[in-house]
Amino acid sequence: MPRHRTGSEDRSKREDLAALLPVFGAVLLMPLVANLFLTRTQLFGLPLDMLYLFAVWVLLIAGAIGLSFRLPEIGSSGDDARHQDDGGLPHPGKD
Amino acid sequence: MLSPDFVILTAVGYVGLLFLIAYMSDALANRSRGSFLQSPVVYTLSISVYCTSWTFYGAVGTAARSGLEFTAIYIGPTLVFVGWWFLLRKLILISHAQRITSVADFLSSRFGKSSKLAILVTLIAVISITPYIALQLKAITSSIQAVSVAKGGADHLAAMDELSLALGVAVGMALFTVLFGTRNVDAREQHPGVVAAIAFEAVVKLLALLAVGFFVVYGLGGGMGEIYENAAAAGFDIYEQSPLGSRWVALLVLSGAAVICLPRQFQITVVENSDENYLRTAGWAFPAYLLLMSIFTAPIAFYGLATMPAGSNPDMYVLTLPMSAGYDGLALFAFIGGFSSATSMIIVASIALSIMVSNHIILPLALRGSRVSEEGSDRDIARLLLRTRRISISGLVMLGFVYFWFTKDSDALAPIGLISFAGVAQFLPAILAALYWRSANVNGAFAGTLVGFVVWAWTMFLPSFEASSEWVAAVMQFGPWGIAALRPESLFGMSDMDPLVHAVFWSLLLNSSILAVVSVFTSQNALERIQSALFVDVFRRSSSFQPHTIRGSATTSELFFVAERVLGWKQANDLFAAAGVARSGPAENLDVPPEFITELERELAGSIGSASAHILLTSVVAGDAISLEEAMRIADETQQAIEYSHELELTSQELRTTAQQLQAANAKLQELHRQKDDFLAHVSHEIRTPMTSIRSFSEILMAEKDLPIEQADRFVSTIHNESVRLTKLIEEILDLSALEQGEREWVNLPINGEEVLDQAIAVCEALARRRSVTIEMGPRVPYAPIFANAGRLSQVFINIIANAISHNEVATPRVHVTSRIEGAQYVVEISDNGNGIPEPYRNTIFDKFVRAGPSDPEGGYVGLGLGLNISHTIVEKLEGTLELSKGHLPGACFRVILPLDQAAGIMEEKAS
Repeated sequence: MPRHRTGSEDRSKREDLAALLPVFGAVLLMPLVANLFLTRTQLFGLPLDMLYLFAVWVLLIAGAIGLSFRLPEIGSSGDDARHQDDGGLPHPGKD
Repeated sequence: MLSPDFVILTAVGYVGLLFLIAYMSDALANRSRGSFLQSPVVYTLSISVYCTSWTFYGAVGTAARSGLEFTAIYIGPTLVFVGWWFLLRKLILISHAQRITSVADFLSSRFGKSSKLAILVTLIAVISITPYIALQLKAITSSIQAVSVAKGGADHLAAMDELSLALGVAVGMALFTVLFGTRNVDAREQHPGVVAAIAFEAVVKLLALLAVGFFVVYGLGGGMGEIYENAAAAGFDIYEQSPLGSRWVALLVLSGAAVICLPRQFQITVVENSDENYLRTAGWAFPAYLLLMSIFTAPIAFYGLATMPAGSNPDMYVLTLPMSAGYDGLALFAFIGGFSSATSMIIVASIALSIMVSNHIILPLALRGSRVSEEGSDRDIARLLLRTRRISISGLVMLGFVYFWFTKDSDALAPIGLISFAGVAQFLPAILAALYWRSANVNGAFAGTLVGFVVWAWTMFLPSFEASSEWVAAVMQFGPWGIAALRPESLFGMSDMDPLVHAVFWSLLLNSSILAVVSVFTSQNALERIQSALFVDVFRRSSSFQPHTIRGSATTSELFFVAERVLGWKQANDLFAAAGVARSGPAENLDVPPEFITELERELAGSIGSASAHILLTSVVAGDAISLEEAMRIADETQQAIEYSHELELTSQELRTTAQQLQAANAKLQELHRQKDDFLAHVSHEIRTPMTSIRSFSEILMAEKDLPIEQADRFVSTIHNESVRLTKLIEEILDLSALEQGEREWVNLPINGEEVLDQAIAVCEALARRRSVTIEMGPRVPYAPIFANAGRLSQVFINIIANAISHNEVATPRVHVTSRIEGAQYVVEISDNGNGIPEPYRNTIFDKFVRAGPSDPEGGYVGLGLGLNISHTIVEKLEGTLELSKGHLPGACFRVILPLDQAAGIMEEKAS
């Protein structure tokens, strides 16, 4: 699909996704949702309840891997306090 | 079969290996800064210090006892790390900018560099972590005992009792940590050697657990499915026995909080971090590490339950399953894995806590006790710090041992770990407020954390001594002084709740509520306000902005004296040289720039914490030319000036709008002025033409007495006609003026509009006859009650009909008159079959002096261009409209619309 978004729009969308991922994970792990899979049944010879928890876990990791390539470099927007650090005095004893 | 002595000696050898790795890494880190040691992989592996022996051994035990509950301890941190962009990123950016050395330093720095808050947080951390260190000692001694029991307990070392063994381990751990955790006071509290050793241990414990997992599942159990099948066949419930509920949520919250608040996690994740972008990898790699650590936990537990003799300790299955299968090498590897988990936790936790104790308790006391800048004082801060840290480490490990001693009768590992988690979770409300709530203040943070801690100590820490103290057991049963409402595990009668949920609920609820309420009702001091802006707005702050929290001046020599005592001569010298502050010769007694004092404070804070650095420098920087409160007042005034300027801007905007309105009004006035000039020019022109002809003809008549009588009559007739025209013009002008300025004698009466129309037609009939114009009557209404001035209305009708007659140039001229009632309106249409109003005049026909056609050459009715304007004004005064419309004849059609007289209509209805 062709992408026509501007840089800042794209960045804010990716930041929104970064916020949504843990919220989405927390919702899936709340008892109300997770208990739906407490059916005392098996899938591939394993309990479904356990498989569900691990599936959510894997999903969260996959989401974080995807985001790690898309989120902007920390400091690229001038929001990095480290520049101040580096711009100041060098750390003694580290050279 | 493994010899216990061999196992213990292997452990000692392993510690030696760790020491070698740490030593070499330190040396490597000193030589090259960008080496492999400073990479996201090593950073992520070191964060896995989260996985302690509780994870290694205890998770299997938890899975055996409580099913899937063990996963919550890993899923909480997973949620925190996958959301690193919002919380951890901000935490690390702030900590780098402020040179934060610990979780206590973080909170103290944010809340106005408060020493009392730092002391409270340090004390809570020490008390909370003590059970955790005890847990590691217990895990190591249990694993050694597990090996001894299998062997028969004949060897020398393993023949020691549990307490001696634990003491031996504690002493060993303390020695090891002191040896390479406190070799020097680093400028930024970073320990590359320790981190490298922890990362190595992370690999060892993961490989060990995976090896045992693969062996048990695929070597012994025959696959995952088969293990579950066998466990079910042996009568064990392989499904979750009860639905997930409040305990599950409490565990998620606690573990999520612990991965931020535990001193060792803060040390590794925040303080030891050398690049914020490492989080990008850690954000997924650490959750993946946790997933791998727990993937075989449940199968190992079910295999152990199904195959091991009844009464076996499930916490030790990782060790006992390979041993019972005769795989000694694997069992040794498993032991080393568990040992790794325990040692890494003890090392990092005791280093982190010792930094807190020395920076926030010992050093402030020492600083308050004497003036450190005094010449000849034997108090060398760097040496004092090292000494207190070494003593603190030993003390902390020993405290863990004492706790272990008191609670050795408790079997399970997991509850001990949860006590620590709930203890450090009391920092969470203050940390979140520090990061996101600008108005949170030190009073709120201190009160909230203190109350949370007290509730935790009462509801969770105290009950852990139930088995070893009769007094505690009595309090648990009957409450203090017999007050049942204060029983530790059922506060205020809340007894039907899981003890963990109960403690977490009350402690965090009271903690955050008090923090919020006290912060709202008390105010921040100046330093707090500065710090809160630096923390909460870390992303918005420009990189060059750094407020000066210490105002005043100090000489170069005084400052160097202080810097040297904390950082050492070389580092202090480098610092001054890099900042371009000369120290030799006459420069020695010169004042340094205030920016450098701020920079020096940050550097010192990196070693001794922000509160201590602030105290130290404030004692040296003399003669505060301007106090901080004063500076803040000036800042407030500046803020007010900015607000005032904003108001001025708004006012000037209003002024601009008013000026525009005035400009428009002025333009209108000028237009009116121009119209008046035009009007006067028109009037002059209109008067001059008849006056000229009157004057000319009368002069001829006076000069030439013998003019033929016909010619003289013609001249007199012209003079008369022109005089009439002049009089009419003046009358019309007077009339217009009277209408525009408001006539005094304008009286409206209920009249019949049709009667007025008939009178007007009658008046115009003579003119019509003279011009051979036929006035036709179209449909008419019999009666039209209106409320109007009959004379004025008649003037309107006469003007329109006369115009229709005068300006009709066709062969058979006709004027058509109709009237009708439309709703509540009386409509009269007067049209003709002339040439109509030419297009250019249609929009301006009702303006003054607009004449659409040529004037009457025969001196009859002559249009002056005022009649329609007067008619239009009259109709408007009668609240009606006069408009040019399209009639059924080809010429012009004027429509007069007047409102009917409602009162007359009602009276008529009544009469009928």
